[in-house]
Amino acid sequence: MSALVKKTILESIAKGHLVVSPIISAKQIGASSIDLRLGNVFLMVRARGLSDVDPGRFAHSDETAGDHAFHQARRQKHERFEAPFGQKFLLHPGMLALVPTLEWIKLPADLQGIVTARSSWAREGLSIATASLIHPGYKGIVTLELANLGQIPLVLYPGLRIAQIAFYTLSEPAREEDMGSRFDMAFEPVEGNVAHGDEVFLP
Amino acid sequence: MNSKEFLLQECENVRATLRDVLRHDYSAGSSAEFYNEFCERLAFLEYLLKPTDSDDVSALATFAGELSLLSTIVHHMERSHAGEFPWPFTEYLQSLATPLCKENLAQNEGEPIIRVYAEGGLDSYQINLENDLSQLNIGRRIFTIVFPRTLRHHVLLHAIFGHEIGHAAWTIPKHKADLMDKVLKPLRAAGPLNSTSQATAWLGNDPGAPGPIVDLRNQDPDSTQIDGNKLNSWFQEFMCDLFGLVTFGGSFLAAHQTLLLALDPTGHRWGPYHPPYICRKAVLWRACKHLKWDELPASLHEPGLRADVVAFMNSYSGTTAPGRWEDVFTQDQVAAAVEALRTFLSAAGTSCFNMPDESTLSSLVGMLTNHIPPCGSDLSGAASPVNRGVDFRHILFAGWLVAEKLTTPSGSVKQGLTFDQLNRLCELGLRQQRAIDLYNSTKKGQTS
Repeated sequence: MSALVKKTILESIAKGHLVVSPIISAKQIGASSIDLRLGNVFLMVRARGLSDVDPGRFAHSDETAGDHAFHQARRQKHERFEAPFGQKFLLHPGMLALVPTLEWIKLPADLQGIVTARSSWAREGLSIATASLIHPGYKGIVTLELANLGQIPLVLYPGLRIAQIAFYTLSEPAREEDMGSRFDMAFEPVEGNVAHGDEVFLP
Repeated sequence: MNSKEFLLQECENVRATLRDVLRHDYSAGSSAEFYNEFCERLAFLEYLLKPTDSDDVSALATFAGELSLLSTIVHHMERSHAGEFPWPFTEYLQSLATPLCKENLAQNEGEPIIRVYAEGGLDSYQINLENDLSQLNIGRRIFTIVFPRTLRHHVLLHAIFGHEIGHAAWTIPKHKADLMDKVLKPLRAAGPLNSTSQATAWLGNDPGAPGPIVDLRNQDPDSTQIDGNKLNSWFQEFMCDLFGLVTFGGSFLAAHQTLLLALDPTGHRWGPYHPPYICRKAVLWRACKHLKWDELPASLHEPGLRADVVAFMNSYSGTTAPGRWEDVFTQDQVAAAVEALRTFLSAAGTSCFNMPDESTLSSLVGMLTNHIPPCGSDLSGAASPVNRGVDFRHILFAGWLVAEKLTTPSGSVKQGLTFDQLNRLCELGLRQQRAIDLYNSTKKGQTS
């Protein structure tokens, strides 16, 4: 596994092998990475009576129309907020927000992406460290899990470069049947299923 | 408590609600101007109300009506969340409609204040300009855009707003006079809708009418009577359809058919305000022919793209065979109306739709086919990407071309893309294009 350098990244894009769209400014392209911009949708955890993270709810419910409690709990857990360009979003200390990148990413079967915070933002306390691996074959926006580890609010604006993605070649292309996930073709952040595959361990 | 005392209290209530609404996130950018305008209106209403005699029931009734209207608008504002409608589309729509709705008002030459909210129902698409608030010293009119809540992400269908722009223009007296004189005049000059008596005979007795029309006549003979009001309303609909086509282009044709046939699958029903869909479709197709949009396939070099455009035309073209019952205007009538409308829009500063060049259209369709949001993104892999400005209406048109390829006659999904996903791709493409436009305009500002 080796990291792609700028020249190889641009060649892959030119061939249509790799898609990062749009790259608005040349400043986004680094020596071995591309900066990603903050998108316009914010999914924030809402602290209230019906909010919790309970794997058991996922394990014993399905997404059928009549499953009121399941759907209500999922919908009430997050507040969805859209900010057009120019509108600020405050990320308070200790707060978690799921946000999309402005860019649409499409990875081939032989590449995977690693997303990290831009160091200038990381120094201000912004963390986007979780779920930083983008699987081969993925297409969609990248969901960033923003957390403010500092002690003062961070003011964020859609369009800012806050993350970066680096690309790594795989020892061989991933198999078709191993690619794809429930987050494929994601247009905005959605919560994951924390029980998936572990149902046997849940009461 | 008498009526006057209660109305003064209600002024306070509306003011309190207005402040309460600030808890929510308004649609983009309109919070302060909306708030300030309403504070002024409330203050002026109180100023007029306080010296009013408690027995002046006529004046009090007027004030009650004004307050009720203000509270309705404030309530709608409360529901104006940017997450409930596609704001990039709204911003583009504003750029088309605002120049048209700018007018000289009592205090200043003001652009209207935009408020956007979502409403239930497939037919809830609306653009309204408030009018007749004669008691208030209006600074700026409120301009309302209403989206159907369930179609939040379905930007391809939002091309129907082109029709609603026509209704908004119609509410402005100076525009209405112009539109009646220049756009409607040629349409009213001849044909079966030339007068109420001819129109009634055409709808009620013309032997050339299609079978479904004859069935509807027999079910409700009274509905075939066309009086002056009905005829005027129908002409307004024809004119607004031309507005839609001229402002939004091909995507309007597709959205119009999709939405109207969803509401009336027969396409033959009529009402006091709307003529049968088949007549509207015939007018639109004559307008397309006048604009030479039917010749687009012949001008394309790329076979795949040409096939896409031909498939689109096959789905949305109407008949222009002379003598068909639904073909109520001649080619010359429609051509004159379209040209008058284009001149009118150009004078108002609203840009008309122009067909994209082949390279742009090919690029946008190619992006969608590859499941990439369509925009002016440079995918060449250049070290210094050059992203292009793309007219949002071209993105919608490309979306409809791809929509034609989505399903087989049996309804199964092709291209691995659903109509919902296609709309989401286009919606995201519009957002990305906003970012590109913003960046390019700033860059231009820095270099000039």
